[in-house]
Amino acid sequence: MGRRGISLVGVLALAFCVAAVLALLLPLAVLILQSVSAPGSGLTVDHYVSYFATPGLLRALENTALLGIATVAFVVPLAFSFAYGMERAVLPGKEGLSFIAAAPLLVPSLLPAMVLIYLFGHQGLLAPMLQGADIYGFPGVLAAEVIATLPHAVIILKTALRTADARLYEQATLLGAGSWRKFYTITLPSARHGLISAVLVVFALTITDIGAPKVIGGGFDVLAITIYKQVLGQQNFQLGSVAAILLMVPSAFAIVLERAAAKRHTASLSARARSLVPRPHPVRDRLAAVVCYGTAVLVLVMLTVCQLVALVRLWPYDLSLTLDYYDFGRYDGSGWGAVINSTLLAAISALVGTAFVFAGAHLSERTKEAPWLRGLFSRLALLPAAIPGLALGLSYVLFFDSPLNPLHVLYGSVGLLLIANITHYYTVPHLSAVGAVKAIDGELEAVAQSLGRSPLSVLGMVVAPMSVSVLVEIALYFFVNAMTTVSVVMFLYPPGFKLASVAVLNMDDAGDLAPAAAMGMMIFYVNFVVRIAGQAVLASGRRLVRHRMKTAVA
Amino acid sequence: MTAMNVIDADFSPLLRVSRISKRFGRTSALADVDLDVPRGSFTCLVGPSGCGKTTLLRCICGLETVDTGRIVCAGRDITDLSPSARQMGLVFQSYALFPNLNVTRNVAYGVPRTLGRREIERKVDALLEAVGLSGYGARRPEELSGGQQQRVAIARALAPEPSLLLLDEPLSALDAQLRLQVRAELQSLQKRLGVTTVMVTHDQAEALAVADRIAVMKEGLVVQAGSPFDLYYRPADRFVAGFLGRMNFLSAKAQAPGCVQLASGEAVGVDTEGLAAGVAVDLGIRPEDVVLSPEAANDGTCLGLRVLRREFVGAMMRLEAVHVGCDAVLALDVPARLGRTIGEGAEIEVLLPAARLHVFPAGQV
Repeated sequence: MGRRGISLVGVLALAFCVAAVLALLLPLAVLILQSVSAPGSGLTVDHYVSYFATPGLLRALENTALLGIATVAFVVPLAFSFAYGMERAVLPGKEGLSFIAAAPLLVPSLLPAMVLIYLFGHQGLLAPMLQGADIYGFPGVLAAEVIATLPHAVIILKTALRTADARLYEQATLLGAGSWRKFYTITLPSARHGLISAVLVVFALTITDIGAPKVIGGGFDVLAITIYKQVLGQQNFQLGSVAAILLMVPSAFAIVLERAAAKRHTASLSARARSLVPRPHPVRDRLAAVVCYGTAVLVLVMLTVCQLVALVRLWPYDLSLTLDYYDFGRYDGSGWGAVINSTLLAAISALVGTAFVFAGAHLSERTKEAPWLRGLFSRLALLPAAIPGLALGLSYVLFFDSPLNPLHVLYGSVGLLLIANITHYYTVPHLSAVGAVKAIDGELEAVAQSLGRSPLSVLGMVVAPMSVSVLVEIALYFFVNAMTTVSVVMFLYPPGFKLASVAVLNMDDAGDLAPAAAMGMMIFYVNFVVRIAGQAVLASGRRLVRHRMKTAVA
Repeated sequence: MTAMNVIDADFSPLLRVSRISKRFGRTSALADVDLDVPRGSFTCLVGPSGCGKTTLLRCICGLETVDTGRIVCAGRDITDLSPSARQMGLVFQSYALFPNLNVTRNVAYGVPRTLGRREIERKVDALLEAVGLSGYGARRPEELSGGQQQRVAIARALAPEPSLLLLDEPLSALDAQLRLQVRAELQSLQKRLGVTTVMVTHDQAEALAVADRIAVMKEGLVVQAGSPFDLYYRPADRFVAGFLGRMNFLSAKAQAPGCVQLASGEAVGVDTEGLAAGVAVDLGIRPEDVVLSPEAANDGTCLGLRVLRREFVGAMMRLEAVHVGCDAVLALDVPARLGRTIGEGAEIEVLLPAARLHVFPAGQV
């Protein structure tokens, strides 16, 4: 192969790198350039100076930091308790609880904020409980972010707590340690990396979110709102770019640290660990039940209220039922089309994204040629996680809208939405695909070659079939995120192709609370059905494997 | 004072396990197990995997509860006590050191915290010195070799001053070369500290090498317990005989008192211990007890064999040879210099010395 000079793998690796440069590096470069260039006078830091000289913008920066820290302070202890209950306590109905706690992942982040307004807003059902206090502003955004980011932290911490070594606990028992001593000498240290990851991920998610601050923020401006206002409101791309970069720096920093923590965590796992099966412990189990069932009930209440608001004539005054608000066309130009558009875009993102991610992972981990290009690509693949959706969206506007760019034709097309979605959500699927393809015997390519087949044939013959469950997970991840995201597509959707999540935001903005709730729940139902279908595919796949193994043994 | 002296001096066992049973769901892990562990002894529980030896160890230290039976340690019934109240030190196969704590803090974990800070430090130092790891206190477990990790685990297990030290397959995590060295260290450490020790292993050679008492287990039962010599030279049944070392078996029938007849017809004189004539038996003999080219045939039975295969193992040559009359295959160990001259297919004459023959009921393994 090497003798021919150009190999197929080399060409493919080059293509992936070019794609990454066009979809990521160049737009980012343009964004940075925009923030430091003045018309006609070369490079300048004027925009940064004027940003910091504007009191309102400075306050947005402080608010963002405050919101991030406060959300972490609430979410991480709650998520840890929930995950601890799931993994270390004896509780009936754990699977159901896990599923319910993950439900906020299936809705746009603005939906929890909307429900908070239905319940505690000026006309909210439970507003009297606040005794004159106001939900709009910091408390509302904080509560909404807590709900929206909780499932992310729970997933990380459940993984961290799942890998317990029962022998350490037995050893501690024999040495006379009590429950508390075991908790802080074994449980906490072994979950340390997971805790760090959860803190950083929740922080990054919170500061980059626009949904909740937009809906319930009131006068509480954060960086994401600043970008939105500067770009869409005042067409001030320079200040918008400055804000986007200010947002990118801490979120990128958090994600880089998180990667480092995750790496160290996998390295510290012992292969000989024996898994821990929790035994009944009345006090712990009761506390866990309170936290876990309580959280699940709150999530169910959120979804139920949202659905009710969509179905009653005038929440909360006239509770008679009506389907009027499902006539979306009366409130938003695109009507039901938005739901169909979103579903289509999500489905295509899932298919194309999964194919891309898997081919990229296979190429970068299981081939030998063009090491430099493959190394470059596997590094570029980690970058998207560090770029906030708003920053990516804005950089696409700047890059693709420029008439000088031969790719200008993409601007305002559905294709650009697709590229933005896949690029923005690339890193997490890439890492799971890399894990999956690496887990398969690395000498298969050599075997294929020795039998006269191309090493790439192993991809279709062995690696893909053996990674079906990971492929389905990746497709679901792309689908659900494409359905719910607002920040990535906010600046990019073409006039004729409105998306459901954006329609929810617009209708809520226009004061059409009920149709906004109705469409928000449509996003939930589409995601729910797809998630269940994906789960069924996975389960039937596992059954098939078991069946084959049985017949093979027989 | 060596451990052997202690056994001789004090016959009351430190630990007495009587008739304990344990079921996991529908499978029976232990069935009416009895075990005595003499004070100061190094006792090995040995048996094939799944025989219940680890379960027995976990029952002794209280990590598993027993269904029936009693466990008495140092005159105290500990059957219903919590694991921490039993005063047992356990070392796991993987050592299970706390990965986030350094060596000192790992060992200090087991020192009663009612002691003062000074006292704890002094104790940890003494324990580390006892296992030969003075100066390693600040290291983390991952910075130690397998053998050193094991000694830290032992020091930690000894910290609460347990009456019994339990070792669960402590050598199987090590590679073959290191295993021999650590095995010797383990034995001398136990002798030096004089702590009564029970070790679980599936490796019969390991048990023979380190133990002064062995209990062979099979399918949830202790089949035979005794000194290594007892078990090796007077195995209770074919299983023990075949599990500890190797033994050849020949089918035979009791003929008259003091005489059995091989399937091939030869009469063999052995102690039949009152077996009725016509009862089928298995004659057993260890490969090293088969004598090649006998000069005087009066104290045993001579057989004509044809060599099938030879295996050079350094000091010895192991021959596998078939009995010309009845197709039974025998293994015999001969000095390598002698074995070199015997090629495959060679006809040889061997002697089975009467004193080295064992008689077992037929068919049972």
